[in-house]
Amino acid sequence: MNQEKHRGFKRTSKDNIELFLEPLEIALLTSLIEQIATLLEPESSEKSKDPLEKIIGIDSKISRPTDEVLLRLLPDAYQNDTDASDEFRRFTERSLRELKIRNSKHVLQNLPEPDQVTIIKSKDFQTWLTVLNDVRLALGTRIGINEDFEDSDEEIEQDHSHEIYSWLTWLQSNLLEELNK
Amino acid sequence: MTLAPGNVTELEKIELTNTLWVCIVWNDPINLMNYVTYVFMNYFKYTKEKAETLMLQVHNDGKAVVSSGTREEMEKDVNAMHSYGLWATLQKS
Repeated sequence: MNQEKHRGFKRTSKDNIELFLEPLEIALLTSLIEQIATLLEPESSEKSKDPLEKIIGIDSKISRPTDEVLLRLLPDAYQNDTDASDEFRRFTERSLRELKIRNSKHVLQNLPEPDQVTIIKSKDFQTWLTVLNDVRLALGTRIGINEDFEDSDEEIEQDHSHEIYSWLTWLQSNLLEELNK
Repeated sequence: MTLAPGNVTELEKIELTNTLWVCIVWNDPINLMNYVTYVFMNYFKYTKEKAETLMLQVHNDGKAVVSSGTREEMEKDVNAMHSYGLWATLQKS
Protein backbone atom coordinates (compact mmCIF):
# COMPACT_ATOMS: atom_id res chain seq x y z
CA MET A 1 0.00 0.00 0.00
CA ASN A 2 1.30 3.39 -0.89
CA GLN A 3 -0.61 5.43 1.62
CA GLU A 4 0.58 9.00 2.13
CA LYS A 5 1.97 9.50 5.62
CA HIS A 6 0.36 12.01 7.95
CA ARG A 7 2.74 14.92 8.49
CA GLY A 8 3.18 15.88 12.16
CA PHE A 9 1.97 14.19 15.33
CA LYS A 10 -0.93 11.75 15.27
CA ARG A 11 -2.37 9.87 18.21
CA THR A 12 -2.78 6.21 17.33
CA SER A 13 -3.76 4.87 20.77
CA LYS A 14 -4.02 5.92 24.40
CA ASP A 15 -0.30 5.32 24.91
CA ASN A 16 1.11 6.17 21.51
CA ILE A 17 1.57 9.25 19.36
CA GLU A 18 3.25 8.86 16.00
CA LEU A 19 5.44 11.49 14.39
CA PHE A 20 6.30 11.82 10.74
CA LEU A 21 8.27 14.75 9.33
CA GLU A 22 9.81 15.74 6.03
CA PRO A 23 13.62 15.35 5.87
CA LEU A 24 14.07 19.13 5.89
CA GLU A 25 11.90 19.42 9.00
CA ILE A 26 13.91 16.73 10.78
CA ALA A 27 17.15 18.53 9.93
CA LEU A 28 15.73 21.83 11.12
CA LEU A 29 14.45 20.44 14.40
CA THR A 30 17.75 18.65 15.01
CA SER A 31 19.70 21.84 14.48
CA LEU A 32 17.41 23.94 16.69
CA ILE A 33 17.41 21.45 19.58
CA GLU A 34 21.19 21.01 19.38
CA GLN A 35 21.61 24.77 19.63
CA ILE A 36 19.43 24.91 22.74
CA ALA A 37 21.32 22.04 24.38
CA THR A 38 24.64 23.77 23.68
CA LEU A 39 23.36 27.09 24.99
CA LEU A 40 22.21 25.40 28.19
CA GLU A 41 25.56 23.73 28.96
CA PRO A 42 26.67 25.04 32.36
CA GLU A 43 29.21 27.81 32.00
CA SER A 44 31.55 27.07 34.90
CA SER A 45 34.13 24.42 34.07
CA GLU A 46 33.92 21.06 35.76
CA LYS A 47 37.52 21.29 36.95
CA SER A 48 36.90 24.22 39.22
CA LYS A 49 33.85 22.60 40.76
CA ASP A 50 33.71 21.73 44.40
CA PRO A 51 32.95 17.97 44.40
CA LEU A 52 30.49 18.38 47.25
CA GLU A 53 28.64 21.15 45.42
CA LYS A 54 28.47 18.92 42.38
CA ILE A 55 26.98 16.06 44.38
CA ILE A 56 24.28 18.17 45.95
CA GLY A 57 23.64 20.08 42.74
CA ILE A 58 24.32 23.62 43.92
CA ASP A 59 26.66 26.02 42.19
CA SER A 60 28.21 28.91 44.11
CA LYS A 61 29.60 30.50 40.95
CA ILE A 62 26.35 30.82 39.03
CA SER A 63 25.34 34.31 38.00
CA ARG A 64 22.31 35.72 36.19
CA PRO A 65 22.54 34.96 32.43
CA THR A 66 23.35 37.96 30.26
CA ASP A 67 22.02 36.31 27.11
CA GLU A 68 18.32 37.15 26.65
CA VAL A 69 17.42 33.65 25.43
CA LEU A 70 19.17 31.95 28.33
CA LEU A 71 17.51 34.37 30.75
CA ARG A 72 14.11 33.48 29.27
CA LEU A 73 14.80 29.74 29.69
CA LEU A 74 16.24 30.27 33.19
CA PRO A 75 14.29 33.27 34.53
CA ASP A 76 14.60 35.08 37.86
CA ALA A 77 12.50 33.48 40.60
CA TYR A 78 11.92 36.76 42.44
CA GLN A 79 10.75 40.02 41.00
CA ASN A 80 12.82 43.02 42.11
CA ASP A 81 14.95 40.98 44.50
CA THR A 82 18.31 40.25 42.93
CA ASP A 83 19.83 38.66 46.03
CA ALA A 84 16.99 36.19 46.49
CA SER A 85 16.96 35.40 42.75
CA ASP A 86 20.71 34.76 42.76
CA GLU A 87 20.39 32.57 45.82
CA PHE A 88 17.61 30.59 44.10
CA ARG A 89 19.83 30.16 41.04
CA ARG A 90 22.69 28.76 43.09
CA PHE A 91 20.45 25.97 44.29
CA THR A 92 18.32 25.25 41.23
CA GLU A 93 19.87 26.46 37.99
CA ARG A 94 22.34 23.65 37.45
CA SER A 95 19.69 20.95 37.80
CA LEU A 96 17.25 22.92 35.62
CA ARG A 97 19.88 23.22 32.88
CA GLU A 98 20.65 19.53 33.20
CA LEU A 99 16.97 18.59 33.00
CA LYS A 100 16.46 20.67 29.87
CA ILE A 101 19.61 19.24 28.27
CA ARG A 102 18.55 15.68 29.15
CA ASN A 103 15.10 16.28 27.63
CA SER A 104 16.66 17.81 24.50
CA LYS A 105 18.94 14.81 24.04
CA HIS A 106 16.03 12.42 24.50
CA VAL A 107 14.10 14.11 21.68
CA LEU A 108 17.20 14.30 19.47
CA GLN A 109 17.78 10.58 19.89
CA ASN A 110 14.17 9.76 19.09
CA LEU A 111 13.49 12.04 16.13
CA PRO A 112 12.21 10.07 13.15
CA GLU A 113 14.58 9.02 10.40
CA PRO A 114 13.68 10.39 6.95
CA ASP A 115 10.70 8.49 5.53
CA GLN A 116 10.17 6.74 8.85
CA VAL A 117 7.55 7.19 11.54
CA THR A 118 8.66 7.43 15.16
CA ILE A 119 6.39 6.24 17.96
CA ILE A 120 6.29 8.35 21.13
CA LYS A 121 5.16 6.58 24.32
CA SER A 122 2.92 8.32 26.86
CA LYS A 123 5.72 8.56 29.45
CA ASP A 124 7.62 10.76 26.97
CA PHE A 125 4.74 13.00 25.82
CA GLN A 126 5.64 15.76 28.27
CA THR A 127 9.33 15.65 27.37
CA TRP A 128 8.52 16.21 23.70
CA LEU A 129 6.08 19.00 24.50
CA THR A 130 8.46 20.90 26.80
CA VAL A 131 11.40 20.56 24.39
CA LEU A 132 9.29 21.96 21.55
CA ASN A 133 8.24 24.75 23.88
CA ASP A 134 11.84 25.55 24.85
CA VAL A 135 12.87 25.69 21.20
CA ARG A 136 9.95 27.98 20.38
CA LEU A 137 10.65 30.18 23.42
CA ALA A 138 14.31 30.47 22.43
CA LEU A 139 13.65 31.34 18.79
CA GLY A 140 10.74 33.65 19.66
CA THR A 141 12.87 35.54 22.18
CA ARG A 142 15.80 35.79 19.76
CA ILE A 143 13.67 37.27 16.96
CA GLY A 144 11.79 39.56 19.34
CA ILE A 145 8.26 38.16 19.15
CA ASN A 146 5.83 40.48 20.94
CA GLU A 147 2.10 40.70 21.59
CA ASP A 148 1.48 42.20 18.16
CA PHE A 149 2.84 39.23 16.27
CA GLU A 150 0.19 37.30 14.35
CA ASP A 151 1.05 34.17 12.40
CA SER A 152 -1.68 34.96 9.94
CA ASP A 153 -0.65 38.56 9.34
CA GLU A 154 0.05 38.60 5.64
CA GLU A 155 0.96 42.26 5.54
CA ILE A 156 4.15 41.62 7.43
CA GLU A 157 6.62 40.08 5.10
CA GLN A 158 7.98 37.17 7.07
CA ASP A 159 11.67 36.44 7.00
CA HIS A 160 13.06 32.94 7.29
CA SER A 161 13.29 32.89 11.08
CA HIS A 162 9.68 34.03 11.41
CA GLU A 163 8.63 31.24 9.06
CA ILE A 164 10.47 28.73 11.24
CA TYR A 165 8.78 30.21 14.32
CA SER A 166 5.35 29.81 12.70
CA TRP A 167 6.21 26.25 11.77
CA LEU A 168 7.18 25.52 15.41
CA THR A 169 3.86 27.03 16.50
CA TRP A 170 2.07 24.66 14.14
CA LEU A 171 4.07 21.66 15.37
CA GLN A 172 3.53 22.39 19.07
CA SER A 173 -0.19 23.12 18.55
CA ASN A 174 -0.44 19.87 16.63
CA LEU A 175 1.07 17.91 19.56
CA LEU A 176 -1.22 19.68 22.07
CA GLU A 177 -4.27 18.77 19.97
CA GLU A 178 -3.25 15.13 19.81
CA LEU A 179 -2.55 15.09 23.57
CA ASN A 180 -6.09 16.32 24.22
CA LYS A 181 -7.61 13.52 22.12
CA MET B 1 4.20 37.15 81.13
CA THR B 2 3.26 33.67 80.09
CA LEU B 3 0.97 32.89 77.23
CA ALA B 4 -2.04 30.78 77.99
CA PRO B 5 -2.22 27.69 75.74
CA GLY B 6 -5.30 29.04 74.03
CA ASN B 7 -3.42 32.08 72.77
CA VAL B 8 -0.71 30.08 71.08
CA THR B 9 -3.05 28.97 68.35
CA GLU B 10 -3.92 32.60 67.64
CA LEU B 11 -0.22 33.44 67.41
CA GLU B 12 0.40 30.48 65.16
CA LYS B 13 -2.44 31.62 62.94
CA ILE B 14 -0.91 35.09 62.65
CA GLU B 15 2.47 33.52 61.95
CA LEU B 16 0.97 31.36 59.21
CA THR B 17 -0.77 34.32 57.60
CA ASN B 18 2.43 36.31 57.69
CA THR B 19 4.43 33.61 55.99
CA LEU B 20 2.01 32.71 53.21
CA TRP B 21 3.79 32.79 49.86
CA VAL B 22 2.36 32.74 46.36
CA CYS B 23 3.53 31.55 42.96
CA ILE B 24 2.75 34.03 40.19
CA VAL B 25 2.75 33.21 36.49
CA TRP B 26 3.35 36.19 34.19
CA ASN B 27 2.05 36.71 30.69
CA ASP B 28 4.49 36.37 27.84
CA PRO B 29 3.93 36.76 24.11
CA ILE B 30 5.30 33.36 23.12
CA ASN B 31 3.78 30.60 25.21
CA LEU B 32 0.62 29.19 23.62
CA MET B 33 -2.61 29.60 25.57
CA ASN B 34 -3.49 25.92 25.40
CA TYR B 35 0.05 25.03 26.47
CA VAL B 36 -0.30 27.16 29.61
CA THR B 37 -3.64 25.45 30.34
CA TYR B 38 -1.98 22.06 29.81
CA VAL B 39 0.78 22.94 32.31
CA PHE B 40 -1.71 24.07 34.99
CA MET B 41 -3.72 20.86 34.56
CA ASN B 42 -0.70 18.62 34.39
CA TYR B 43 1.42 20.02 37.22
CA PHE B 44 -1.14 21.40 39.67
CA LYS B 45 -3.77 18.77 38.74
CA TYR B 46 -6.31 21.57 38.35
CA THR B 47 -9.56 20.90 36.48
CA LYS B 48 -9.72 22.07 32.89
CA GLU B 49 -12.12 24.81 33.96
CA LYS B 50 -9.82 26.15 36.70
CA ALA B 51 -6.74 25.86 34.50
CA GLU B 52 -8.43 27.81 31.70
CA THR B 53 -9.65 30.50 34.10
CA LEU B 54 -6.11 30.98 35.41
CA MET B 55 -4.64 30.95 31.91
CA LEU B 56 -7.10 33.66 30.81
CA GLN B 57 -6.26 35.68 33.92
CA VAL B 58 -2.57 35.50 32.99
CA HIS B 59 -3.39 36.45 29.41
CA ASN B 60 -5.79 39.31 30.19
CA ASP B 61 -4.39 40.75 33.44
CA GLY B 62 -0.73 40.06 32.75
CA LYS B 63 -0.34 37.72 35.69
CA ALA B 64 -2.15 35.31 38.02
CA VAL B 65 -1.53 33.72 41.38
CA VAL B 66 -1.52 30.04 40.54
CA SER B 67 -0.66 28.51 43.93
CA SER B 68 0.05 29.44 47.54
CA GLY B 69 1.79 27.85 50.51
CA THR B 70 5.09 27.92 52.35
CA ARG B 71 8.13 29.55 50.81
CA GLU B 72 9.67 26.11 50.16
CA GLU B 73 6.52 24.91 48.41
CA MET B 74 6.41 28.01 46.23
CA GLU B 75 10.09 27.64 45.33
CA LYS B 76 9.28 24.13 44.18
CA ASP B 77 6.33 25.38 42.09
CA VAL B 78 8.35 28.21 40.54
CA ASN B 79 11.13 25.80 39.68
CA ALA B 80 8.58 23.47 38.05
CA MET B 81 7.04 26.36 36.08
CA HIS B 82 10.53 27.26 34.83
CA SER B 83 11.09 23.66 33.75
CA TYR B 84 7.93 23.98 31.62
CA GLY B 85 9.14 27.30 30.22
CA LEU B 86 6.56 29.45 32.00
CA TRP B 87 7.66 32.77 33.43
CA ALA B 88 6.99 32.49 37.18
CA THR B 89 8.09 34.20 40.38
CA LEU B 90 7.32 33.79 44.07
CA GLN B 91 6.60 36.41 46.67
CA LYS B 92 5.01 36.92 50.06
CA SER B 93 1.25 37.02 49.87
